[in-house]
Amino acid sequence: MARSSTENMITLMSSDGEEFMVTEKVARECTTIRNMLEDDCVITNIPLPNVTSDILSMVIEYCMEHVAAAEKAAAETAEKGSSSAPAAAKANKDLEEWDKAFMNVDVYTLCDLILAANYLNVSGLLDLTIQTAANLIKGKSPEQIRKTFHIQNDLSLEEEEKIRSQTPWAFEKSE
Amino acid sequence: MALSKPELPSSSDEVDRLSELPEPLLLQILSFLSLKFAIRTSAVSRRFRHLWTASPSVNIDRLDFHSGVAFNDAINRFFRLRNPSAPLVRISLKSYLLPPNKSVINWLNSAHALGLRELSIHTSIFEAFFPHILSFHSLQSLELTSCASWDLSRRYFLPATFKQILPPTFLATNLRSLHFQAKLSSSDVRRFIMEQNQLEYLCLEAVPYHAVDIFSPTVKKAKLIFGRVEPKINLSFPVLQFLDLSILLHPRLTKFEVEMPLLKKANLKIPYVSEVSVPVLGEILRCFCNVSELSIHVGDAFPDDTEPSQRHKRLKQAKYQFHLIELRKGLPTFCHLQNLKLSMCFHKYGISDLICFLQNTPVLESLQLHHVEFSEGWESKLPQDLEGNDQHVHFSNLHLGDTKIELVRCLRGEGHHTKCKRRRMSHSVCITKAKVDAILAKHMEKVTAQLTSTMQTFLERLNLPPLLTDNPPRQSHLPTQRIGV
Repeated sequence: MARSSTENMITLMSSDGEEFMVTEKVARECTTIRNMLEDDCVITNIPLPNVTSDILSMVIEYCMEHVAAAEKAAAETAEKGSSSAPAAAKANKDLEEWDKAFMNVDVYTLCDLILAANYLNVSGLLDLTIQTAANLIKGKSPEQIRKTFHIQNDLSLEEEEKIRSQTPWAFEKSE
Repeated sequence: MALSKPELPSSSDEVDRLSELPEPLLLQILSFLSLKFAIRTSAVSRRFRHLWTASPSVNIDRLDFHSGVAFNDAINRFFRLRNPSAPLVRISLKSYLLPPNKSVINWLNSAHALGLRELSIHTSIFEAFFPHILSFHSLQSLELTSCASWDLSRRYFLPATFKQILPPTFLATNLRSLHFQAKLSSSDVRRFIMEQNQLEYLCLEAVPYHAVDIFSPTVKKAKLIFGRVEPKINLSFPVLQFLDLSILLHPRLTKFEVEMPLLKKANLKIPYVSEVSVPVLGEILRCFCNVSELSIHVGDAFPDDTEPSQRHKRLKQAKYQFHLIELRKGLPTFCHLQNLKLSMCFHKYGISDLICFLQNTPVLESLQLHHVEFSEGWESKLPQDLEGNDQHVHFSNLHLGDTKIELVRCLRGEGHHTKCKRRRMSHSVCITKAKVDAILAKHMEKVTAQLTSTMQTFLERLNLPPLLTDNPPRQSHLPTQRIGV
C-alpha cells in the first residue's frame, strides 16, 4: 500500500467490497468515521456495510472538495496574512456553485446520498441533500410530487378526497 | 483512487426511494417546507398522509394564503390535526397582521403544550401577546421581529409608540437566545434582559431607544444594532466575549459607557462619523482596548435610520470621514490586538487614523484594509500592492522585525503611488517572508522533536515489538511508523 509520509491514509470499504483510499483529513469529514478514529487511533481499514461504492465515491468526492476548499482558504490566509473579502466571497460562491452542480443527480441517487450522509454523519452534505429534496417538493402538486419521486398513489379516491377537503387551502395554487 | 460518477442501473427507474427513507429523515425534509407545502404532501400517498402531523418544525407564512381568513383557518386546523405525541420544537410565524389576541394566544398555548422550544414571530404588533410568552418555561429561543414596512409609512422615531408592556412582575424564563427587533420601551428591555439568567445570545436590532441601559450577567455573544439613541448608552456584560455593534453616532448621543472585561472579539459598524461624535467614538473604541480581534467598518448607510433625503443631508454634513485625528490622545492602546480589519475611506484623514492605530497596537499581526469610496475625489491613498491594487490591501506578520515601522514610514510618505514607494512595500513584504520561513523551520524542528519523544513513550506503553521501539527517536517519518505494523 502506498502511503504518504506526511498524511495517514485510511481505506474505506463499501458494501460491495470496493476499497477507497482517502487521506485521514478527508475521512474525518464524516463524523461517524472521525469518532471511530478517535476511539481507536491505529485503525486504517473501515468497512461501511451500509454504503454502496457508487454512493461512497460521491460522498468522498464531496468531502474532498470541501476539504480542498478549506485548505485553499487557509493557505491563502497564511500566505497573505488573510484572504481578501472579495476573494473569500468568490471562493464561497464557487463552492456553492460546485454544491449545486453536485446536486444535479436523479432522485434515487439523491435519496441514497441522504441515507449515506445521515449514516456517515456528514452534516454539510445532509443539509444540502435534504434541502435539495425539499426544493423538489416545494410548489408541486401531489401528482407532480408522485411523478418526480416515482411514488405509487395507494390512496383510494375517497381517501384523497377526504384529505383535500380537510385542508383545502393547502392545495390551492398560490404562485 | 477509484473516483467515478456512479452509473445507475436502469432497473431503478421506477423505484420509490423517497418513501423508503426512515421517518426522521422524511420529517427533516418536511421541516424545510412551509406549512402549506408540508401539508400538501399528505395527498401523495399513505406513507405521507399523516407524516406532516409529526414534523418537529413548522414555518407558517401568510404569503402562502390568499386571505387572512384562510391563514387563520390553516393554523387552527394545523393544531387540531397535529399528532399530539410528536414534539413541535420550532414554530415560525410570519404575518404582517395577526388575528385578535385570543386566537394567537390559543395557538401559542397549543404549541407550548406540544413542547415548543424555539419561537419566531415576524409581525407588526405583538405587544399584547408578548407578556403571555413569558410564562412558557420550555422556551429556549425567542425571536420577535417587526415588519420593516411599518416604519416607512410613518414619520420616523415616534417615542410614544414605545409602550411599557412588561408586567410588573414576571418569572425568569429559560431563554438561551433572544432576538428583539421590537418596539419595547427601554425600561422594559432592561428589566426583561436583566432577569434572564440562562441567556447566552442576545440580538437587539434597529430599534431607537431612549437612553439604552442593558445589563446581562450571562450573555456571551451579542449583536446590537442601535438607531438613534440619545443621550446615553450603558452596556454591562460581565462575561461577553463577542460583540457585533452597529451604531448610529447621533450628535445627541454623548455618553457610551461599557463594561465588558472578557471581550475578545468586536465588530463595529458605523454609517458615518461627524466631528461632534468623535469623542463618543473614542469612548466606544476604549471599550474595545482588550480585544484580540477588531473589525471596524465606516460607511454603510444605516438601514432604518432616517428617510433617504435626511440621510443624504447628514452624509453631506459628515464629510465622509472617519475622523480620528482628534483622537490621537484619546485613542487607547490595544494591548492584545492581533487582527485588525478596517473598512473605511482611506483618503488623507483615513491614512492618519491608520497610522494612529498602528502606533497603538503593539502586538498587531495582521492588518486588513478595505477602501470605501463615498464619492469622487475621495480615492484611496493606500500603498498599492504588487498588482497595483489599493482597494483591498493586507499586511501580515507585522509583529516580526521592522515590518510595522516600514509600513508606517511608507504611509507617511508624501508622494502617493510613486514607484519608489511601491518597491519599498514589496521589499518589506519580502523581508517578512524570509523571516517567517526561518521561524517556521525552527518551530517545525521543535515540534518534530517533541512529537517524536511523545510517540516514543506512547509506543513503549503499547509494548509494541522491539522493531519499532528500537528506532532512534529523532526521525521525521514517524507517522509512517505508527501505522506500519
